[in-house]
This record gives sequence, structure tokens and C-alpha cells, in this order.
Amino acid sequence: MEPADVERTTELVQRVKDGNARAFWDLLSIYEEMIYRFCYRKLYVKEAAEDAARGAFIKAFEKMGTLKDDSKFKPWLFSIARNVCMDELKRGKKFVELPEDDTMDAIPNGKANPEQALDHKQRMNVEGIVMEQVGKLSEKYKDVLLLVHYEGMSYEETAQVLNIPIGTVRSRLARGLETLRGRLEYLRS
Amino acid sequence: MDCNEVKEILYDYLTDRLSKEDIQTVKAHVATCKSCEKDLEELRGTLTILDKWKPPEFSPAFRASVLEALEERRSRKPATVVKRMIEWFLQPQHLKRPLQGLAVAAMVLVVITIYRGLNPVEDRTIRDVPSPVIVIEAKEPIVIETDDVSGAFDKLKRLIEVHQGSMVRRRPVEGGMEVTIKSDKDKEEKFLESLTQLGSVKKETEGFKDGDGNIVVTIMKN
Repeated sequence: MEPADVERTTELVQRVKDGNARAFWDLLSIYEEMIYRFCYRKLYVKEAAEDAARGAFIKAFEKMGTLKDDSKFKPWLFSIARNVCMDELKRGKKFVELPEDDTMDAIPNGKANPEQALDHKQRMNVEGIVMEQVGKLSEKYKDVLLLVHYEGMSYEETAQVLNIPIGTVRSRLARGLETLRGRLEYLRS
Repeated sequence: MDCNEVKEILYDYLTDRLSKEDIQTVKAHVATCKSCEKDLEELRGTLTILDKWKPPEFSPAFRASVLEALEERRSRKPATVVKRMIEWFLQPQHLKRPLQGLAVAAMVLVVITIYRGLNPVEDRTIRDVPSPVIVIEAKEPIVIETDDVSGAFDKLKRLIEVHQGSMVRRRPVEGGMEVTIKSDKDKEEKFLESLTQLGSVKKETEGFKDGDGNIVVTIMKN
């Protein structure tokens, strides 16, 4: 996040805290798309993602007074959105069930078994395969990937969202990417 | 930098997270190291595939729906406690034991009173933050007359998207539907011109905006 964006966000948060509801509209316009995208990639269902994003913004509005450092609004909001999504996942009603398989063995390998790989490619488009494989990562690797890679957050902001050290963010990202490199290898050719 | 150090920052290199100095170091290293070059290309390929995953567009009315939900919660909040108490009190087992029920209800009232006294910050949040939906109505909304109100509304949603606006709210009105639209000033004129695609348009030179500067359109059945 650029310093100017942080400054703008901080100013808007202060105005909301001072009772200016219009400033919340502006915060919404800045963050709605990224929060929705993040929720969608957690839940896989558009309607569920919109519900979760809506829930996150409502909580953020109602709890704005508890935010101690206004410049940390973005990681704070993402942290709320993540919690809302995790609650939703626990309820298990609105997300797509992915096959229980966390090993690379079940993924067709283009080199070892090209026919099987071709079958797999034909069945799903590339986007579907990416969704499936990212979805199979455990949540701790997936969260880091979604925040750092898909939302372009800094390691520091991601560490704040997940309340983990920056070094852990880096190692989880590396581990997640390495797993995906292997799983998606057959698509790279 | 040795190979291990370079491999650790290949992701940062590919996603523009490095200083100019580090970028040059990685470039120079990769140019002479086959192993790191291979890792770099594999990672680049993986990221290209990962970037194929694009979530579907979210609803243009999303922002308005958040504000509506906030407004609903704000107006419902004080009533909820009372309503819940009444519902609880009317449960059959409590009717059978009215004295016990009354005692517990009184206790709940005491607890709520104490809670509110001990939590002034929460209370202030609810009381001081004004309603997020304070609408000053448009004097002369744009009127679109059509045979097919819902069809025109669908078309209007597409026009809003095309002109990169957003729908703030919609509500039924007698004989049709009123839609409030936030539009970029630069795109407003073209958006207004495009409304003729929806039916016969009656538009005054001014007065079709609400207090927030949003365009108000009423789609009416012919």
C-alpha cells in the first residue's frame, strides 16, 4: 500500500470515528472490491463472498472505535473479513467441498502420465484447476497466498492480518508456491 | 548473493518487491546461473497460471446493500432487546410459571441497565454515528416510460456498468421503480444520453440529483 493510500485511509477512518458516515462510503469504495475478492477466494461462491464481505464491513463500522492505530485499517479490515469467512467455512453451508486430498500424488503429472493429464485438462479449464489446487492448500498457506499474491499486500501487512511474524509469512508463501509449482507443473507446457 | 539467497527472493523479483540494487543483483546472478534461471522460469510460469483465477464481478449494488444493512441494524437495535424479551416471556414454559418468568425478566432488565452503564463506548458508537443513509430526495427524477419495467431495469444495470457507475439504491414506487445511481462526473453526460435506450425519457435540466449528487431515475410502466 502506497504511503498516500495509507494517509487517505487514515484520514477517512478518523472522519468515521468523528461521526462522518459519508467517509465510510469512501472507505467502502476503496476496499469493497479487494475484500470481496479475498472472501470469494476463501469461499468460492459469489453470493457467500458478498455476504461475508458485507458482514465484514458492518463489523468494521460497528467496531471502528476499537481500532487503535488508524493507519492499520487495511490489515484490520482483512483480519475481520478472514474471521467472517472462517466462521462461514466452519458452518460449512456455503462453500464448495473440495476432495479431501492434500498430497501431490493424486494430481496427474504431465510427464508421468500424459493421457491422464490431458483428461484432467479437458475436464477442467485452467482457472478451475487453479481454484481446485489453491483450495487444497491448508488455510495457513492459502491465507498468505491470497493476501500477498492475489491482493498484493506487503509481508508486513500480511503479518498484521494473520498475527504472525514476517518471517513466517515468507516461509508460508514459499512453501505454498512450491507446492503449487509441483501441482500445476503439467499445465506449464 | 549466493544461490540460496537469490532463490529466496525470486518471488519478490517477479512481483516488483525489490530495490533497484537487488533487482540488478538477481539479474546478474540469473544470467550466469542455470539452476537459478530454471527456478525463475518455473516460478514465473506458476505465477502466470495462478493469475488465471479471476473472481466473478461483484454486484454493483454491493455498496448500497452494506449501507442498507447498517441502517437496518441501527434502526432495529433498540427494539431488538425489548422484542427478544417479549418473545422469551411469551414462551409457554414461562407463561406456566409467570412469577419465575417475571423475576428473570426483571433480572435481564437490571443486567442490561448495568451493561449499558459499564459500556459507554459501545453506546456512543451506536448513538453518535449518524445514519449512513441520509437521503435528500431529488426534486425531479428522470422518468423513463417503458412497457417492460424489469427489462429496462436489467438494461439500466448494464448501462451503469458500462459507464462505470454504481447503483446506490433502488426502491419500488407506484407504477414502477426508482433507482439511484452514483456516476463519475466525466462519464455522466454519456450515461444520461444512453438512457434513451431504455424507453421514452423525460428529463428536466436540473433537479434529477439527490442531496449526495446521485442521479435518480424512475422507470415507469407505460
